[in-house]
Amino acid sequence: MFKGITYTASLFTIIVLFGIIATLFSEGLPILKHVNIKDFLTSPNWHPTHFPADFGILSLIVGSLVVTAGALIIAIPLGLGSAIYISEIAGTRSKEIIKPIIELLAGIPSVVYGLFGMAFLSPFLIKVFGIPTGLNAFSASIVLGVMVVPIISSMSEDALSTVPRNLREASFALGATRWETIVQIVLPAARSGVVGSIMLGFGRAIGETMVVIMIAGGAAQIPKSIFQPVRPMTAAIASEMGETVIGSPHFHALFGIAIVLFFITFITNLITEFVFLKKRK
Amino acid sequence: MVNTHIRTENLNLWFSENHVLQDVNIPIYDKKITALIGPSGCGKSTLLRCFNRMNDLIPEAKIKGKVFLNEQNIYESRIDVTQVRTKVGMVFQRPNPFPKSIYNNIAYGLKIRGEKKSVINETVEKSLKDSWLWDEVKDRLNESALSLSGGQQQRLCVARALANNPDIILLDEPTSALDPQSTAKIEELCTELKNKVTILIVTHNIAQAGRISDYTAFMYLGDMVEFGETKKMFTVPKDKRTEAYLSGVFG
Repeated sequence: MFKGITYTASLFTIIVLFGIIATLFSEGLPILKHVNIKDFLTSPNWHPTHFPADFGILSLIVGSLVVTAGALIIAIPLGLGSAIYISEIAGTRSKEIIKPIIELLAGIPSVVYGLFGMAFLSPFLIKVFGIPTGLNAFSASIVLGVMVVPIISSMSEDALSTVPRNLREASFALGATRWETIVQIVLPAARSGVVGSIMLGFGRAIGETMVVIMIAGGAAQIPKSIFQPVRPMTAAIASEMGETVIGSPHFHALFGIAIVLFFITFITNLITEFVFLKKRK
Repeated sequence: MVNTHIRTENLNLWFSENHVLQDVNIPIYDKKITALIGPSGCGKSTLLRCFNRMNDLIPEAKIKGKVFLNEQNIYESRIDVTQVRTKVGMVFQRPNPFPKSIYNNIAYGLKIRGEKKSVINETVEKSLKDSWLWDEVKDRLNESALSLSGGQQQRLCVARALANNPDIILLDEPTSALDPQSTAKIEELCTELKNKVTILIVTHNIAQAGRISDYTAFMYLGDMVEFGETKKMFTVPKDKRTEAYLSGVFG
């Protein structure tokens, strides 16, 4: 009975997954009737409503990768640093306070992050850097980075905490300092969890939509500097889907972008699984 | 002629309110094996961990009194703890090799002190030979230490401690997780090693203390009840409690 219910539940999830993938491909692949795959992936010209239309998504891909990379550059040191502090250095009391506060960040809806970025960060950046617009790849990276911190922090902290105490003791007993023990023993022992947390953070950042719609600036161009506006893939899909005719080339092109996005996260997960997590045993 | 290598002076230790060591005074003699015995919870492991300041890692621990290592009190404020710990090696109850290669397990202590590659290579080989592991692992130094058997892992932990060239090795019930054969090997190893280093071993196993130690200290409820030559203590214990423990009345 119980077995039956749980089995059905897992089966249902798998069916939904395959349904999504099937829709993605059946709606996305027809774009290749209008543009060949090379131009679709490597042309930076995204003019879906022009006549004739251009369906090159390179600038969208670059936009996504730039803000995601920027987000990780911010989130990895902050997340890992706080994880190390909570797990290895903080006393029980400060641990009990800091950990839930950082995890609270994860509970803030992304649209609130977006508002924060528009209302506070963007004017602030204009003032500090003297740039024409505060809605750009840089500001989107910062906000995405802050969103990703709790993911990296709490998952890495879990991984660090599960490293057995006797490994730390062995290291201390050999005359290692706390820092040497953390860097050379604890972190490597927790490697798979730490890498997993970064990959999860990557998935979160590249898939995040609301924040990049609101803050990334929206220009479909390959940015020459991080202070230029970009249009990540998710932003293009979400903001354009409502304005397109179902079944039109533009409609199929947006699904085509979704396929690319799907492959990027899928391949990242595969690489993580095989390269990093395999060594766990 | 025996020299005192470590001695404690009115050593007291509390974990929060719990008075775990009470005015412990004990000499540990140079290049001898001293066994610490006593029933569970008597404080023998805690005492052992005072000698390389491992109790510093426990925030609730409070220590009063002195521990002299070569007549230098290691609880003085200007003492560098990492220095103490390189001079006083430790082997734990359960084998705890690092999840690294066999080679890197032993090289670790040397690397963090910035030793040269050639010195490290030499020391790795020497330590493995001294812990009787070399012949078993010389062809697979780059394999994970976790691929070794429990007994081999424990000898690797001995080798790891030896690589620091310590004067003293503390062993905290090193054979309690091992099978009889591996246990015998560790015991033989101890008797061999005492030519070079002072050995202090905590053991639950009275027979083991009798087999390998030169001196024995019997602890009970945080008190150092009796200390003396193993031969004498095992034949004519002075204290009633020692006698009862040795004859298996409690434990």
